[in-house]
Amino acid sequence: MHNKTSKKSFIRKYIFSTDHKVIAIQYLMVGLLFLAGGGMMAYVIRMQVANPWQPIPFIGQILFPQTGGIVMPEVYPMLFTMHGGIMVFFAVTPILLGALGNYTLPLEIGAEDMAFPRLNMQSFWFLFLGSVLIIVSFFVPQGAAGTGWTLYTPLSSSLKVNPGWGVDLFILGLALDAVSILMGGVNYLTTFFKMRAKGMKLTQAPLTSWGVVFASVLNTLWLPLVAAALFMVLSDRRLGTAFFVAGPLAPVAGGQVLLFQHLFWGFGHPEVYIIILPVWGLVGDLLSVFSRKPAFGYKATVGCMFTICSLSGIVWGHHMFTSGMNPLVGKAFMFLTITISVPTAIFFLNWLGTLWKGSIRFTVPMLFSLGVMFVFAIGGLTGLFNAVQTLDIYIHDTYVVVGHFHYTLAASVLLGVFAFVYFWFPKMFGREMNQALGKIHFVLTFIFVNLVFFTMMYVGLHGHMRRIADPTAYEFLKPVQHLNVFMGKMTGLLVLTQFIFFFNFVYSLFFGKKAGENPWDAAGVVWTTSSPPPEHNYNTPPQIYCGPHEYGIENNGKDYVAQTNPKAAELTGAKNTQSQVDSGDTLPWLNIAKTGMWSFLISEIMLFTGLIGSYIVLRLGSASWPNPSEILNTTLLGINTFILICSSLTLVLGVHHAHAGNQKELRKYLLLTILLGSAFLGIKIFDYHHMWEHGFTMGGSLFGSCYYLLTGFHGLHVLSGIIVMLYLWVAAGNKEFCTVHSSRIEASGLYWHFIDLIWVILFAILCLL
Amino acid sequence: MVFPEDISAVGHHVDDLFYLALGLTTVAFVLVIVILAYFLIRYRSRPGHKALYTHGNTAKAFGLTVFLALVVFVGIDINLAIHDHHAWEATWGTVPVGDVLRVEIQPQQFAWNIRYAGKDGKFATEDDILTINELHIPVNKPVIVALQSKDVIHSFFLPNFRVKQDAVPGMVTSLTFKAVKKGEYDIACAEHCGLGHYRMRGMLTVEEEDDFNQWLDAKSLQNTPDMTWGWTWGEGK
Repeated sequence: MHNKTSKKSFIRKYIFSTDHKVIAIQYLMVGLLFLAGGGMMAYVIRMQVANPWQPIPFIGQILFPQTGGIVMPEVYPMLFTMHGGIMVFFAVTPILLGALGNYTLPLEIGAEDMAFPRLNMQSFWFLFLGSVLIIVSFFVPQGAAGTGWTLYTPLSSSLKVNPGWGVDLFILGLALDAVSILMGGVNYLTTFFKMRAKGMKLTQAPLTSWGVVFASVLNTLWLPLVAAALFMVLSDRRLGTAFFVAGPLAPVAGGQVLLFQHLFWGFGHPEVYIIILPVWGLVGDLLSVFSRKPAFGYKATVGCMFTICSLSGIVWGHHMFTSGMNPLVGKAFMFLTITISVPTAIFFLNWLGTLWKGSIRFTVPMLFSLGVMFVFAIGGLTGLFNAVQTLDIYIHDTYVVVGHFHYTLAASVLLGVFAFVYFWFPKMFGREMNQALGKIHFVLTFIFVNLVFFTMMYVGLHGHMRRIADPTAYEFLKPVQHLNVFMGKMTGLLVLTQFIFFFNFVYSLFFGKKAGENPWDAAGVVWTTSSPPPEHNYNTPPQIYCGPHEYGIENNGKDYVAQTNPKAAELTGAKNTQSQVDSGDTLPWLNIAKTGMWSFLISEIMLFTGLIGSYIVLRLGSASWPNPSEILNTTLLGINTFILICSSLTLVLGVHHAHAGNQKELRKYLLLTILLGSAFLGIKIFDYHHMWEHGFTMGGSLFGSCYYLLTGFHGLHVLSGIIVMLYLWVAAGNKEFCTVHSSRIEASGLYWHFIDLIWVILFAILCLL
Repeated sequence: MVFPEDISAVGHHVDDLFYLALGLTTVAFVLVIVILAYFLIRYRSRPGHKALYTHGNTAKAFGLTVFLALVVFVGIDINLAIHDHHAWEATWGTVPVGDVLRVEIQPQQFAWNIRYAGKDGKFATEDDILTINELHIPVNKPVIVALQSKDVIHSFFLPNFRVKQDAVPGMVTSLTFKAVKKGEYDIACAEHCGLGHYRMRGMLTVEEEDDFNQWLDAKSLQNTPDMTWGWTWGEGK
């Protein structure tokens, strides 16, 4: 085991670290910086709406010196676009999945690190690259994206109405962030299912871990869908296609504008839950810790998380009631949407049940958790107004929607982020944050958050549209303008309040009271290791004897039983828990490399589902379509199919020899596979060139666009498969070749077979449909 | 005054639906918060007070939770769904018959191009009457507006009628409304359409049918035909 303290250079230890705890803190810092930036934009937005075209107080002169502190009409859309994009993808996601997920998951399940530490490091640096692009996008000619974070086409996808590089950089930044999130997802899922401490059953994992796991499942499934859509937007912008452009702006006919919205919200709605699930889990755990009671209805709570996840994937249409979608379809979406209130209600009742007959300690993290309960009750209930079709048509695209989703995504998430930081700070840094300042911070934040977002919903009911720079342009909005002024002031105070937190954070980092192992009297396994924990978390691998919420039991003067207490079964009166000790590995038949690969392949499948699905929708929606056999060289494509299938066979033989430890034969077959893959690419390039010469170009027709997009994406996958195989070919020459390598080769083999399978599907639908 | 003035024949269905939802959710919210507050005071940590050790996984606890969730489902969800159905039937679900006014609108960045059929009653002909940002309609007469965007997505929003409909390039969408009160009202764009989105405002004038016809005649005299857009109406439109 890794209980040696290895000597590492500063850079390996703090910058390019593979320690999940260091990476978590890196995520936290990036996330908090972007949270501050996004918050500042919120302030500018509210001030502009409160006093249109007046200089922004305090910071206007610094931000917009050339206009004397005034927000120009072309700047305002950039502000609300980047506020949304940054908050969702570069503030909240890095904090809740990156920091909370990375820090708590391995520690709370008693693992020594993530399943793939180097991949974990890469995910952070992908996020970092993405955030650099986002920052750069503010400084390119014509500025950052101004399309709304939803990137609705054709406003985002047509260069005629949206020149400049803002949207392109935004999409590329999001793509890098998506890669980061998906890599993170592979890690969280594999770590959770394969690496729990000995004895920890799935039902003994903390709710926080479950929240992170479910969020990762949703990311793995739905993020690739929007990635596919965004690549198509990029292609519309820079490669002359028209997937999502129709009407006079479209270079070729057949594009479908609403298809983008379906793909976007197919991810966009689950995204709401991706963000909120870790918070829900955290709140569930914290309520238990500070009520000194076990989490009420633990299994039902996890079950509700699962149900909500499942439902979240099939309700996206409620964002599109006014889009011109069939009303009957709208009714189905409405019904599915309001059904979510059932698991949510059970979930909420379990929180109340946890408090019931507890012994409630009002610590700062507890106050923030209770705050989450309050604002989430409002956020959840106001969701019903937006789900009801006839009513939604009136309030859609007004501030009712904005207020509602800020209650669920901003208020509850913000309070949840603070609960996370206050609760985990001692473990992270070995010092405690100041409780008195924390309480003042909570009270003020809670008040201002509610004043801003509740008022927002009120002006929305009056018909106040979102995303307008100047409400005074409309007669019917005059009666509520004073409320915009009020919200502006309250936003300013909300932002000011955060300086208390900033001060507390920095001060406590250096001068806070030293924290012991367990400052909160918590029962989870993580509270038995030092604060901060050693490099590989536990000096000896912990053994788990009970769930994480055993509070309210007399035990040697304490009122809880730690998860590592060998007498737990006796103390908690649990019945025959020792009949079989859980190995902490839910999937013993699947090794770690393969588990990670399967989780990655699922996201790849969803990426191609997005692309192929779009092709089918566009194909079936088109009045006329060329006969593929007249354009495509089916013979050549057939030969290519044969080559690729052969390469799968050679790889199977290679894997067979890898298991037998026969390095020489393995290298031979790997090389053969690489050659076959290269032959495929060579023929592909010849084929592209030939057809392009004959006028079958990417921007020439919708079929051309689809053909080059699908086969091009597949070609890139083949190329990356070849690169991986080259790496393995070199590695297979290594003298220290062992079973670890052969399991990696087997996992990579899965990827190669997947690529081949995709090609067979593409061949069939492109040539035959 | 929560809502702007309602000048439509059926907009009150939307308002009623809102007040119903408000009532139901307020009951749920107040109940939950009162219980929460009670728990926080009653079960606060203090010397001599001990927490009850229970995982809440008894059949009784589970049954109670599921029962309450079902109450929410039937009392709020189903209730709202039924009322929504009736509201829908009364508003969007009712196709006006007989004497209706048809209008075509082609929004573009950042204006509303409006087209009346003219004397022949047919669209996309030379005698069509065109205006920009200026929509006149007669009072007490159903209006059908068909929309198709010239460039990006816009959304035709009439706050005083509680309706909106997106205008999408490449497809025709439509909405129906009837005014019961004369006056001048706002037409707003509700979908972000670019830097001029905030000033994409149209004016709606509701007047007596005679005044409307006079206005239309006056407009037709100064009319210059524009055949670059407009479309013929299919069956049932």
